[in-house]
Amino acid sequence: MARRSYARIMPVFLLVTAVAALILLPPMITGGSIAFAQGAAAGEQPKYGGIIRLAEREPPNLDPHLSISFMPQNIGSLVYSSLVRFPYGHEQKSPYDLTIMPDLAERWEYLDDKTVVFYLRQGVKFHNKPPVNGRELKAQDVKYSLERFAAKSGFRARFDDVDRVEVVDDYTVKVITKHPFAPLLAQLASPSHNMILPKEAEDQYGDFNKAEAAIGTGPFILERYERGVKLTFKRNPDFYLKGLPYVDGIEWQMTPEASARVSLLRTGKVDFVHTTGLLAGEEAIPLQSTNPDLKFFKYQSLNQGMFYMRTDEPPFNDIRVRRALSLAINRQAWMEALDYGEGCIVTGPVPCALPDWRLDPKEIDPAKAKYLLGFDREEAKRLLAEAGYPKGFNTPLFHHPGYTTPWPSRFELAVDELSKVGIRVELKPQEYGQYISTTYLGNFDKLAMGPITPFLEVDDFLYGVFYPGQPNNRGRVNDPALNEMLIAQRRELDPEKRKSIVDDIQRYLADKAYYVYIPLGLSYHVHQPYLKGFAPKIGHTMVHRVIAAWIDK
Amino acid sequence: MREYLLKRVLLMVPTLFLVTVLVFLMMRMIPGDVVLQMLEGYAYADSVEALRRELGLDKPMHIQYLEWMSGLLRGDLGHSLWTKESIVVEFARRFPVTLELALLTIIVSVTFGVGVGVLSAVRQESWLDYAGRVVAIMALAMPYFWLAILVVVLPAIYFRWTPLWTYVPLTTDPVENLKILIFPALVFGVSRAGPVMRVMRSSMLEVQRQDYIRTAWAKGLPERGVIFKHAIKNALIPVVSILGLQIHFYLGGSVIIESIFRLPGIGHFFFEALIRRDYPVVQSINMIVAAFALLLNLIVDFSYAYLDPRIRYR
Repeated sequence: MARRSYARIMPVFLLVTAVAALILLPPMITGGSIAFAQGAAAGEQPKYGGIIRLAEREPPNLDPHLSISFMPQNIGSLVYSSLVRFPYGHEQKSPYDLTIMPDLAERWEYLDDKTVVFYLRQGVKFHNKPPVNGRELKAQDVKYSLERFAAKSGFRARFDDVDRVEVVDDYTVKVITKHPFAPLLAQLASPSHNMILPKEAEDQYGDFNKAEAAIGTGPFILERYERGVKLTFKRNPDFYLKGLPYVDGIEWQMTPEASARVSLLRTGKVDFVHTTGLLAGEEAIPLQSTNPDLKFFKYQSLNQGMFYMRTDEPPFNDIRVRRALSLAINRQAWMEALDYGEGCIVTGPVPCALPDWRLDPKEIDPAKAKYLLGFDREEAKRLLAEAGYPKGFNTPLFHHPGYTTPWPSRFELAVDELSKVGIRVELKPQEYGQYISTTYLGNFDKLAMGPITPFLEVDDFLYGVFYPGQPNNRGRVNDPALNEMLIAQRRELDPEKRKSIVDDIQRYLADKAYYVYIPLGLSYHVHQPYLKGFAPKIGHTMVHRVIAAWIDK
Repeated sequence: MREYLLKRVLLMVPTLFLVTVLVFLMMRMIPGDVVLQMLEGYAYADSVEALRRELGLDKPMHIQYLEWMSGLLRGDLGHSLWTKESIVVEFARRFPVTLELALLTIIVSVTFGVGVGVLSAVRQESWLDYAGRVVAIMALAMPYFWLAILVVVLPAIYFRWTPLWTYVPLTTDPVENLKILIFPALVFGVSRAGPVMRVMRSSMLEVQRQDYIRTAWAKGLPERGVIFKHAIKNALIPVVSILGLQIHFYLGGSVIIESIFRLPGIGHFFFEALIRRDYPVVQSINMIVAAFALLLNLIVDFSYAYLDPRIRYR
């Protein structure tokens, strides 16, 4: 089955490569920004110059492989490149567009269902900083970087199915997997994982934590890091996509306090806040009346929030109890009360921001779908009685109260709603350090609740969350029938067939209530009016938003 | 006096030793593992153990303590587990910011507190006295972090202006630096002025009833001379005690002020290290701040001798 899939997708890949070449080659040759300006609105011509300013917290470190925090990932997306990438803001069809595009690899091909060959662009140079001094990127750099990721990164589970990386010649590298591995290209495109780094920087500095060691091939060069004050980036004059970026640089101002960040935006001292430019509804909606000159765009960002339960222990090892919890939540009322009535009611197992993979609950058998979006207190009480809890039961709810609004309200609503069916909840707030190293890792008693790290590949929301032994399997789920499907979707290279398996998984999971997903509101992409071309995009990938942005004032 | 000074300095040693033991143990008793937090959900067994070995956290606790103490005695505070930066370098970069903020805060709180306290006492039972006492109660009641948020947010909403700037060191541009620090110092200082004002008022009222003040009035000295030359100096003694007791607060309470006003000081750095369980950073900074607080208290004690010549230390 894998070979027939390979035969079907090869022509598609060649076609994509040919189209990409037709689009990309002329501007590369002519150095024109015209092709990239196609992303600008009609009548708008991008301007060169200016500094983009943002307010954000300080990253814990800079090495993209030594932290799984989203901030080093965003910094890395500015400084480094990957083999492949997702569309930049001016190329994408929507903020959810995750088409795989060439980056350092100008084309790639599957030799068989376990071997992908990447053909690197020639003449791509690292930033002109010692000890790399602007030398050309070669295949050996790719091998070194991917192997370092697989050895050191906290995300390296994503490379479990990669067997080895081989250098064929200076501009050709082969990735060989143990099995057919469908998520490979998306993982290679994700700035979380696979930035291409120069080995001599690690040899000199020990790792990539220092600003001096942040040497990549990306559109921006990390010029200076004043700890606790700001990060300063400048345009890479040798960036291989000629004509980009438009701005002279970026200034990342360290601002720990959320209200201070919004105040800086109000007063025009920064151009946007957070690496994403996003604000929650509670922050953005007041801004619309006090600062109507700002630009607002709302969309469903890649978030997911859930109740997670110890499905390996009583009482939540009983499917009736889990279903009862799900039916106790009045999702529509939560959306009205906390999210201004707009957003996504059913945020899992596949989030709303992955529309290419998500199965609409309306396409699921209503008898099963009711456990995803239903609200029925009487049925919940009946299920609890049937499970042996006619008078309900007590449970702690572990959580971190410091998440941004409206999370604190969600925890309180949970206590209220669950009590009405007999599940008496005792809130157990945990300081962040304790929460993230205990509860978030699945070490908790009975019940917990909170947001989950978003990823850009559907496999992370399925295999990563439901397969036994996976670190994100907080609920300790172990369902043999499900496990088979999870493996099958990972190994199916044909996109249509894979989608079919993912749909089946969503149908299967609908009434299992291994996790109970909660509704999440829309996020607001807010920025100064003179910042043009600043595109909204899902994921922790700042470069996609700013690479074709320009300042018009 | 010399003997007293020596005794006090020698007493600092066991105090600091106790601080090291307490800080070391308390950090490890807080729930949450720094290694798991660094890996945050990707805690493969071999990776956890490998990281624990790399960070030196696999050794017995008493060995970890002795290694830390040995470094401390050599002036080597170690490196951050997260950033690998030298703690000495980070401290040298950040402490001047916190120190400057603390000094400005003390100046504001003393100026405001002493000024209002003296006025209140000298014009007892007048509208000035009542106004001063109301202001002191308000300063005591208002949480300084709440006030700080208001100062940052309200002008941004109504006047499109906020007292937040990108930090510039004092040595680079003193004027810009003072402009950046004056608002956080005012917010923090005003909130700390409440107890200063109340103590100053009580102390002034008591001093004004003393015989030597009555004698000064009887001799026909002008009011300014009686108040400033004779009364204030004696009334300041309890105020100095208050300041001595609050020193730790000026240093430790800066955490929130630094976060809100985005100042790259030691307070916020310490707070982030605490959340991340960055043991070497938390332990070392605790030690330094403890030593500094002990030293400042010593200076405060000796200032009593200056203020009241009758006080002599043996």
